[in-house]
Amino acid sequence: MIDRCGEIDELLAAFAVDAVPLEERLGVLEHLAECRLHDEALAGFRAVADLLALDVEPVQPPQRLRAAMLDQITAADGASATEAALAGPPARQRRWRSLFLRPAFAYGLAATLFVLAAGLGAWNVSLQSKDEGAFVTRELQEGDLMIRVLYSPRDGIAVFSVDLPALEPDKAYQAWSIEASEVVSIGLLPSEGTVEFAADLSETTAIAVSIEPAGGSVVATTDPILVADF
Amino acid sequence: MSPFERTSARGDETLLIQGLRSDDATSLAAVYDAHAGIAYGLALRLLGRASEAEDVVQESFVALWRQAERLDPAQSVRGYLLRIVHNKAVDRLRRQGRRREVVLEGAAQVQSNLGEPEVEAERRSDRDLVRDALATLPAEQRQAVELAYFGGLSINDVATETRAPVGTVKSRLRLALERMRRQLGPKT
Repeated sequence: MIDRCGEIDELLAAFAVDAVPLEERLGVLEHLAECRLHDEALAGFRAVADLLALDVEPVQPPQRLRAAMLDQITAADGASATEAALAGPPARQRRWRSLFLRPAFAYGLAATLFVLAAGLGAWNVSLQSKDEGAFVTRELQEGDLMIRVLYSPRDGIAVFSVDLPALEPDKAYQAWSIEASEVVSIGLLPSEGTVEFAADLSETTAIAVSIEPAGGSVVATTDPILVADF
Repeated sequence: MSPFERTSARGDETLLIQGLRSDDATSLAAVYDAHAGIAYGLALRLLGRASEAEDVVQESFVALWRQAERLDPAQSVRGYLLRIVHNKAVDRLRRQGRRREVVLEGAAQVQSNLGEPEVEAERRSDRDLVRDALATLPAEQRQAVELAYFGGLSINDVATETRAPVGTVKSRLRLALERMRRQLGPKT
């Protein structure tokens, strides 16, 4: 761990201004999740980065934006909006909910994986997770399938490191956030490599991956091939 | 009071954060009224397209609302919000594989988001201090900050743009931020 500290220190200022390339960002986030030696320096750089925004002249946004924003958060908290979010292909969404949103998610992963195993065959599941300060990391491996998720709530960043079989050109992997009242698309995943999303996973209870038509789906159209308690 | 000291929440802002954490939508509306102008200005400067800037600002306020439980009442909600805006805007730029021409000065056509005179004066004062601090950086350090923060470029892209080694770009950013930190105030 310590042997990377010098390298990480060199990157901290760039990290604070969102200038570290994606392929290096995952490594930085992983190191910062486990090493407390950089906290003070990073906080100092972030404090300056926060002030840089003040160089910008304020611009009054369109009036409608305020109403749209308030409508969105009000609707998101309302039962009607929740039901609307779960509309669409209702059977599929409800089934996903039933899979992931069991009241006792304390059994959570074990129960969910049991259900999944019934449909997907026997999987050799190994799950590792770690919560370190401002970062959350999850690793899910089922046989040859592997996904690692590193999430920084403070930055609203979720980094997925993926190693999945290649798909036909008309198919794509899609990641989903399973929340208390809805299933929300996080985005499309490559079959192999690392991808970063600006994502809010603060209400995520599980992450799932399904195979969807190329370009993705508004709601999941197939059963998940992977799931991780979050 | 230095700008850094104002990055700590004041009493009224602490109340707003408490309101956000209590799911009080009027607190979010108050945060919006206070900071939407700077948030939109930042998104617009990074993205250059009004429709995209609007999307990012809306997404950012919704993210702030959803992450309210994690807000530190001792910290400025403005700083937290602007960090979300910057991150989302940069993410959007990179996903689209495009870059924004860096505008060194403020947007040509702006309409200030005037708030209470005292707050507005404080904001202008902070802005002047930040601009002064940027202006006193050595040219190559200032360029690195401009390209990385306001251009949304990665250090590799800054290196290509400035024809400097990546290691040099990292050093320039670090030196620039350290220098600004010393200049802008003791509390970080």
